[in-house]
Amino acid sequence: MNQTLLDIKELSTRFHTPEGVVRAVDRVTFNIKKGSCLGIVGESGCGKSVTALSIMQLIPSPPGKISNGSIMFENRDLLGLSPNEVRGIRGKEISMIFQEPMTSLNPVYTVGNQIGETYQIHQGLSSKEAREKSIEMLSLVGIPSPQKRVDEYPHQLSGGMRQRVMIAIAMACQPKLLIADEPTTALDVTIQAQILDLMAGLQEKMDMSIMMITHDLGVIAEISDQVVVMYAGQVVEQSSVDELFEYPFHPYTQGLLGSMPKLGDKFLRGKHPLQEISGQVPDLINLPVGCLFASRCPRVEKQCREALPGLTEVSSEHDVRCWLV
Amino acid sequence: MISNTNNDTLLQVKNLKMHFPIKKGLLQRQVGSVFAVDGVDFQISKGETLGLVGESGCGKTTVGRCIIGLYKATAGSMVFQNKEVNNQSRNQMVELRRNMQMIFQDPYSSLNPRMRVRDMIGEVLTVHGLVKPKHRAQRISELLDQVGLKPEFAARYPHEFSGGQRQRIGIARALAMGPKMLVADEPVSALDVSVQAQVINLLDRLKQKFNLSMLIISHDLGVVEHVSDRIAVMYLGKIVETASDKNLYNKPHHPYTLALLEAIPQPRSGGRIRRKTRSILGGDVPSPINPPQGCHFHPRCPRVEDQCRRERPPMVEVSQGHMVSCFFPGEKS
Amino acid sequence: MTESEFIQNLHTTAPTWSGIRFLKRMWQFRMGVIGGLFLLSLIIIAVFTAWLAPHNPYTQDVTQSLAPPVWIEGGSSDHLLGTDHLGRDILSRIMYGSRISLVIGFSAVTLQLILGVALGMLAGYYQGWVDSLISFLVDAMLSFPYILLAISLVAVLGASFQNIIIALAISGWTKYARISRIETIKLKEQEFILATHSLAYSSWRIIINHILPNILPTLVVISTVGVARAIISESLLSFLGLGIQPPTPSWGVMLAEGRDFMFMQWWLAAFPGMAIFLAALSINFLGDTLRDLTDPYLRKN
Repeated sequence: MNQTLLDIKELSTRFHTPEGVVRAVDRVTFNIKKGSCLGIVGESGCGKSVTALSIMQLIPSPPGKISNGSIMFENRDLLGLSPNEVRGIRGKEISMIFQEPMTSLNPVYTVGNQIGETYQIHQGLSSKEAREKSIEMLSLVGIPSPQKRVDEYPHQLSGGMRQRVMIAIAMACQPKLLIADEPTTALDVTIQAQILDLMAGLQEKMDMSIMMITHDLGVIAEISDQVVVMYAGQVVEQSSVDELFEYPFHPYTQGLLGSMPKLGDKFLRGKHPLQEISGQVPDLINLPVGCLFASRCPRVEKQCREALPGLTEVSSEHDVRCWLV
Repeated sequence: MISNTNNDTLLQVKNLKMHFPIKKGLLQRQVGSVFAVDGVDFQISKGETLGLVGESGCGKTTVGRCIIGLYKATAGSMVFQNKEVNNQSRNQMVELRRNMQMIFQDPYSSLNPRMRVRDMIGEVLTVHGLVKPKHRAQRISELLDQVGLKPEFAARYPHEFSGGQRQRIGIARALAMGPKMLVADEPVSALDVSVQAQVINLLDRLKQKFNLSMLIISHDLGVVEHVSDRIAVMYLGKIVETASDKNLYNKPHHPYTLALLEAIPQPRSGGRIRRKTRSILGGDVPSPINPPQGCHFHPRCPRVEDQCRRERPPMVEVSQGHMVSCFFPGEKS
Repeated sequence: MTESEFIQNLHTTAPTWSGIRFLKRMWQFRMGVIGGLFLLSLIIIAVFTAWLAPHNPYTQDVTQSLAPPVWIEGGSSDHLLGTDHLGRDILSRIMYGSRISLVIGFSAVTLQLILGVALGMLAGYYQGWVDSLISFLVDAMLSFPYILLAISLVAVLGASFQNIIIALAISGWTKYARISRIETIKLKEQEFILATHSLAYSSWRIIINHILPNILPTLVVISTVGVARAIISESLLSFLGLGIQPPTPSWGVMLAEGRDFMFMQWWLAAFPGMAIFLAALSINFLGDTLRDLTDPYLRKN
């Protein structure tokens, strides 16, 4: 259980644009244990999706480039592999699902074709065997009457059903790691609950690890074991999930929690304005000196503007990037 | 059903229906209808905020657009300031729009990309003759100030702003008319969490300052609960439950409301245990082209009985101001 | 903006115009630059022909007739591109001809745009029967080849300078009507147009102040190619004797007159033909480049 599946060290990804170098991911370090779920949370532009794309080596290049670091997956450094070796791992050992179930499926192929394709590519099955497997996968992801659904086209399915199909495709080769980039953001809450339950169920059944990327701390609370909070391309806090919600340390994490309206809070503690995080995310091309959150931080001090704090351990497995720990 | 009309009522909506025809073929014959809104009643008092919550396709956006007059309702009555919204002359409509303004969802598409902020807001002031030309610039600065933007932003184009700032510009433009009521359709759902808080707080402040009434339409019960005094829950074209914010949270009676409250993931510790113990709603929302017979919710309802499949449940008042459309209302499933 | 969008935008971000990067961009869009420069020189020639042309384009001099271009034996530096059967200077006639080509090209396309955009926006904005009527008209006209329509119109109206412009305008507006109709329908769904309704603006204000500025840039870019088409059409009409009438120097007229001397005195037809070809080509280069430049920007908005 406590074996490390994916170990990322000092990963940096940059984009070389006409305006300058965008430091989208900056020396990110974290690991995912076998059979556990890691949540990465942050707002748009924080680098959470670029981190995922870097692991999959799907960064468009140019302009993107992984400039530093290592991504150890079962003791192999993914960054040292040839493009062919990477393709062998992608989809087979590491799969990814995306936010938009509407556009992630090809509208001109049936659901069965799209799931079956994975089997034909990675396991060399015949089209008939692939179809059988597809039906099996559809029932695994909880799609009713899979024999019928396997021949339907994406537009015949609801958003929730499409996301289930996406999960079926991703799960087809029983990957060891599933990267989910905002998989429920486009869905309604009742459907979101279904999908989260499905993912958690599959994770247990198949003993796989999940990397869940989301902006929603609520989703993180429900599915993750570990949490990484990202801000402006950097990890600012990481800990176990319950510890993060009980003892959020970084002012940014605290701000995020305070800015979300929580059900029933109004009646428990009386109505009060939501906590705001003033200002804006710094420009990733011209990053300020010092702590990247300093310009928006309510507890900013002199040293915050002078030097970038490192990740400091505040308790076991709880690291914070802040001078005030 | 809702009869307690009093002097404080600003907007009274009765049996509102909006059916969009589906046309096909060369002759554009009508082959069916989308029953987007199928009989909705509610009212909003002066200075009150009503939250309208529901999932996609439930018709909440259509309700907002009917009220603001962007769609012509198929049936029903909407009385605003004692005047019927339907069947108004153009002049009366202009008058109505001055008093009721809308805030849109997408801050990226709700502002004309080719207009400067000052022209956008200035146009409203000029078209409706709201200020003398010499006070125009001053009024624009004042409006920007009210939504927390610097006056020098007036010379900029929309693409120079962040999503939150654009939403503020949209609010400033709505305020330019001096409305009594704001209809906000998913005002924060396109924004980042930390920016959401800024806009929600801004709406709350403006409501206090100008004694505005508001209709907040959103899929996010957390947001709706935070800003609203009363909440109406919609499902497939109908309101299934209306209650004060407190009653809806503490004593939800409709099984759908209950499911909605349980399904929202909470940013608190113990989430994994909560997820495993809650009951979740199966299935999908049916299509509004072919809504189910009887109660629209019955195919997904854990309390379903034969009666639900045959008849539509009426709205009943379970306590003062708490209405539920269910044959078997109750706090527990 | 999600990060994946952000990454996509990196590919499509508008260029920054400075120093070396400017030159790089120029090189990247060299075809457009060449086209633009050629068109610009054509316009300069057209405007200043009276001063630039070495000869009067109407002056006949039978003693000099059918003189070859300067680099062929028997040619003289007095007539750089030679003379025609009536001894008129070909270079001067081509230079005067550019006036006719450009005026007809640009004014026909301007009229096409006005007509097309007005009808297209009306159809898209009001929809219903207005749309059915205009769309029917567009479809009906598109079932005729453009040039055939222009020929029949000139035949009916009579061949004159104005009538050519009118005929080309009437035959060519449908493309712009189609595009502006579709763009208007798309824009109508945008929230900023919904917002103008909720601000109780009049329909005219919405159409003119809010929809038009958002569709015009695309159309103007597309219409550059239309200018080339109109220039070719004018030449064709004149060639067929339905356009500009001799002795007025139009490229089409010159081509028609040179046809009889095609094999022995090829320069009579070849130079006006080349003028038509180069003018159309340079405008097409420019139009394509403009489209490439503006497309990602428009998509982004």
